[in-house]
Formats: sequence, C-alpha cells, structure tokens
Amino acid sequence: MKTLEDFQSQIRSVLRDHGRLKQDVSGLGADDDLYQHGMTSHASVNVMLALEGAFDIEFPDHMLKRSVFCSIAAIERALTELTAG
Amino acid sequence: MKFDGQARALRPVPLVFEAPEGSCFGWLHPAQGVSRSTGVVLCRPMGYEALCSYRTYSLLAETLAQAGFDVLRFDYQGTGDSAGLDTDAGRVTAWLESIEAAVGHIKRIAGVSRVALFGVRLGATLAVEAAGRMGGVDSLVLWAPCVTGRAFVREMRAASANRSMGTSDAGPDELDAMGCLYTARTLEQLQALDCTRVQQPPARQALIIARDDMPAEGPLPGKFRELGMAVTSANWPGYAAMVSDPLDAVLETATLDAIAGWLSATEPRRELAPAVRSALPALPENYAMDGVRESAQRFDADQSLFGILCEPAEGRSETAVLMLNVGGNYHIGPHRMYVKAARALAMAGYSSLRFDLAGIGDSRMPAGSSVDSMYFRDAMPDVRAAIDFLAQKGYRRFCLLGVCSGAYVAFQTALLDARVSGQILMNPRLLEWEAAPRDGWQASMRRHYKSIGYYRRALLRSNLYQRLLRGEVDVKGVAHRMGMLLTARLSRAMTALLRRTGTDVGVLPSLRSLGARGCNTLMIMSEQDDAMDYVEFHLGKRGSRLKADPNFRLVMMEHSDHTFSTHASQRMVIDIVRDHLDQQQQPAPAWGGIPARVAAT
Repeated sequence: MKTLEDFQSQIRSVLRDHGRLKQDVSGLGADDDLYQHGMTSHASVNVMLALEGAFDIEFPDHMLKRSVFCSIAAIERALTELTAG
Repeated sequence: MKFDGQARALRPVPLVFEAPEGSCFGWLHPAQGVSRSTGVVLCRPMGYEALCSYRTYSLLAETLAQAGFDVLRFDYQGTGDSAGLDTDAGRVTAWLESIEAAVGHIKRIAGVSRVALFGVRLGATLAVEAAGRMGGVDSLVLWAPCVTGRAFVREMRAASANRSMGTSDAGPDELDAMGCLYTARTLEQLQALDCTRVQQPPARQALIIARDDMPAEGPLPGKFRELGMAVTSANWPGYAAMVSDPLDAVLETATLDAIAGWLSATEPRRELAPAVRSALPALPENYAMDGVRESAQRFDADQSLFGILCEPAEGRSETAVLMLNVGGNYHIGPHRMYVKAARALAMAGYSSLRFDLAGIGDSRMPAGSSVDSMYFRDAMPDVRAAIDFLAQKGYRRFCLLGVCSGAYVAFQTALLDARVSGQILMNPRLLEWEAAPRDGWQASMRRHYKSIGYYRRALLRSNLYQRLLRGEVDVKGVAHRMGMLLTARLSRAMTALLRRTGTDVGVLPSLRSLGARGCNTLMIMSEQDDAMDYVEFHLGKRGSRLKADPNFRLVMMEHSDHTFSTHASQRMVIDIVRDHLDQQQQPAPAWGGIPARVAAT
C-alpha cells in the first residue's frame, strides 16, 4: 500500500518530468498553485497522462477539471480517491 | 500537372487541391535527384500540436525529398490555410476525405505508384483510418499515435477544463480546446476512431515511434503484427520537444533522418534514368477560399519570403492589412486566428497579407538561425518588403496587425516606415527592446502573470483570501512584479524631475508622433492579461494619456486570454478590427459601435 509520502514523491516526479514548471518542484509547497508556477493547459494534459501511467488509473470525466490538477495536494486527493478500494 | 524526377534542387511548391468538402492548401516537396516510386503524404496533428510541429513537418518533408521521395504536406479541410472552419459539421469525415484527396493528388502530379502516410498524434490516427478505408497504402509512419479518438477527446477535455482564462461560447455538447472548437458531431466521430479495431492490414508495413516523454509500446504494434504487417517499433527522441511550444520547438534531425532511412530501406530508387522534370506547378493564384480570393505569394529581393494574399471576391479597398507572426507561430496566426480574420475582412472588402518573417514558417531560414525571440531579430526589413510587395499590387494604405511580439514588430515598423497608415496592437508585452534596458520591464515580462489590475480586483473577492491562505497564489512572484512596477514608476518620476521636463523617447511620445503623422493606433487588450501592466505604465489607466489623441483608441476585452484562444474571443477580435477599418474609411474619425461585452476607453 502506498503511503502519503509515496504519493507526493511520485506526483513530484511526474511534475518534474512533465509540468514544465518555472522552478524546481522540490521548492513547491503541497498547496502551491501549479498554474501560477508555469504549468500550461498543454502541460497539464501530459501530467494527467503521466499520472495515469504511474498509478495505473484513469481519471474519470468528472475529474478532468482545473481544480484537480491545480496543486500537489489536489492531485493527491484525487489519486487517493481513485486508488481507494 | 504531371512531372518526373530530375537531378536538380527543386524548391517546395505551394498548391491547392480539391477535396469533397472544399479546397485544401498544401506544399509539394519534389524528390531531389533520382526519385523513388513512392510519394509520402504528411498528415498533421490538430490545433496546438499542429502549430508547434509545423517546422518539424517542413524539415521532414525536405529530408524525405532529399532521400528521393515526393512529399505532400497539407492542411485538412477546415484547418490551416485550407477552406472551411472547425465549426463545420462532422470534421472527421472532412479530414479523412482530405487525406484521400491528398493521396490522389500526389499520385497525379508526381506520378508515383505507391504511397506512404506519416502522422503525429491524431494525424497518425487519421492516417491509419484513411489507409484502412482507401487500401493500397504501402507504409505507415506513426509518431506518438493516439490509439483511439476517445483518448484524444479526453486530452482535449482536460486541456479545455484546465484553461486559465478565455470564455468559451461552446455549447454543452461541444468542446473548445487548444485553439479548436469540436462540435458535437465531430466529437461523436472522434469517439468512434480506434486503430486497434482495424480488421484488415491498413498497410504493408508500419514504423511506430513512441512518445519519448512517456515511452510505452502500446497495443498498436501487436495488433498490426497480428494482421500480418511488418512492424518496427522505435523509441526515438523528438516528440516532447516538437510539441512543447511553437517558439521553442526543437527539431530532432536524427529522428527525421532515421524515418527517411526506414522508408528508404524498402523503397528503391527508380532504376530508369528519369525524364527531365517539366516545370513545377506555378504558385496558385486567385483561388477561391470560403467566398474570397487567395493567392500564394513569394516576395522580397530573392523571393524568399512567403505569404498568402487574401482579397475580396470582387473589388477591393486601398487598404491592406499585414498580419505579423506571433512568436514562432507561422502565418495562420495563434489558433488560426489570422486565417479567420483575413477571410472575414475580405468579405467586408479589405485585403490582407498573412506572411512569415525570415526564420519562421515557410519563409527563408537564414543560415545558422533558429526561431529566436522576435525582440532580438531585425524583423522590420521583412515587413517593409511586404509593404513594397503590396504597393506594387496597387495598395495605398497599410495597416499592421500583431499580437504580443507581433505588436512589437508592428510598432517598430510603423516608426520606421511612413507608409504605415495604421497599426492594430494586441496584448503587447513589450513595445521597445533595449540591449541595456532602462528599467525592469524586459526581465519581468519574461514571466507571465495576470494583470496587477486583476489581482487588485480579486482582493475584493473572498476566494482570493482563501487561496492566499492555502498558498495557491504565487505571492512572491506577484509581489516582485508589483515591486518592479513601483521601481519603474519612481525611476521615471526622478528622471522627469531632474530634467524638469518629460522625456521625448519611449512608447508614449512615439505613439504621439505616429498619431501626429496620421498613423492611427488601435490597441486591443485582454483585461486580465499582464500586458495591461506594461501598457498602463506607459499610457496611463486604460490609455488615458492618449485620450485626447484622435488617432489612438484602446479597447478592453473581458474574459479573453493572451492569444485569444477561444472561438468566442477570436470572433470578438475580428468584429473589433472590422469595425475599426470601417471607421478608418470614413472621412473623419467617428468612434463608436464597439461590440457589446467590450469596454472601450
């Protein structure tokens, strides 16, 4: 079972590779706005796809919205919901 | 016109061919040297990815032509420079029919007997589907293919939801994403595309190149092998860089060479000595596109700049609008806005030239150049060459139009060339560039924020405080921008105090001198865009320092983003520009009639 630290670590890894952020992801807080830090809508799609690959899940249509991908904490909440059970 | 191969360097030739739902624009890259018997048709991805990958497609076409293939790269009906709109019904049918028409066309004009299809992303999906329907396709080269249309639609849905600004007028069953509007019927057709459902081999062989940023083989190679196709799977670099940004797109020439090598391995050159190739097709002129006339044009001293002249079907005014590149976006403009604007203006009687500066799109690539920032390059001579060309065509009034860096080029050209009678500047983030900047604007505008006005207004809304408390606002970055703005204001005040007079250089006096010369300026600004900070610093709140100037007007647009990515905001921009040109035709300035939902000052 994945711990919260595992989740955060993997999310940060995906953001590092696909988020096109203007600063190093290690310097971002869990609630920092990823869009404010340079993530474009195009990059956010790649983040979504990479998260789906990393966690072997698929975001349902109702989760394809800005608030789900706006911060590390928001992504973590969505992943927790999708991987529960 | 049909021709055969001949061993001499042949330039790519623009052409127009007919597809069932309308004309398609494309480029033929003739085989260099002894040609092969195979023509290659390049199928573009959609929207933003098509824009970003434009140079890669051009270079791949050149690479394949050097290897002896005749190559046709083209725009599907409703995209790029072709006829039609993305809002037309059932686009997938039109895209597939465009591919079939392109295949027929290259067979006719190049005399090739075999055809290979190349596609990136949805272009690959469409290539598989079209090959399955047509039959007779020899090879498929699929780069980062969307295995299903459903996967593509999900990505577009996510991209649309994650857009930061830009109100869309898409209906409940439509999708406005990455610069394209997908209608309900188009979405339904996209959902039905599935490369794994093919029952017959769509081609003899396939090369499938995985995404380099998410390498995974996916189900396609296995499926195609089951059908008896010869399949090569590759993990070659280039995809992620190719589609990251129109300006920063990095061309992975090794991968393009490898693609040419793979195709060449099974496609021998013709053994017979080639006949002398007859004259290549002439530049297409005065062809009908959406009710107006267009002509592909080369100009400048060595005919090395390229553009498309769009004119009314009948008659014309003396005014020509020159549409200037935005960053690395080629001449169709951001999200194809220049094509839509050009045709709408031609319907209203105005001609336009949408063209590429050197180093961009289909114009010359200066040796050793890359797509540098428009602020570093000396682009103004290219614009003046375009004015020369239009003057030779009989035009007398020249209006420069540009978004962001295109606005910078427009402004700087207007200062240099007295023939410029008007300029339309949209969301300029900088209008001057200095090797040794006097203030912090150049450095600061490298980062995008929303306008300071937006943050001020947001302070009145409780949800900003909630976001601040959650740390969701880049407080440090916004504070830095505010600090820079304050410093610049102080610096300007000190300079004025010491000189006891206003400075005679800078954006404001330059605009005043243009106005005095009779050159009118229309600024179109997105209210939330941080270009507002730059403009208001120089021109006062909503351009108040130029309020008395009859040759200056600033129009604010609510809910639009930096490059007017949504269908709704593009339509509004086009309406504003057309109204502006109409008013310029009147004997005396008579401002008014600004469309609803737009605040004018």
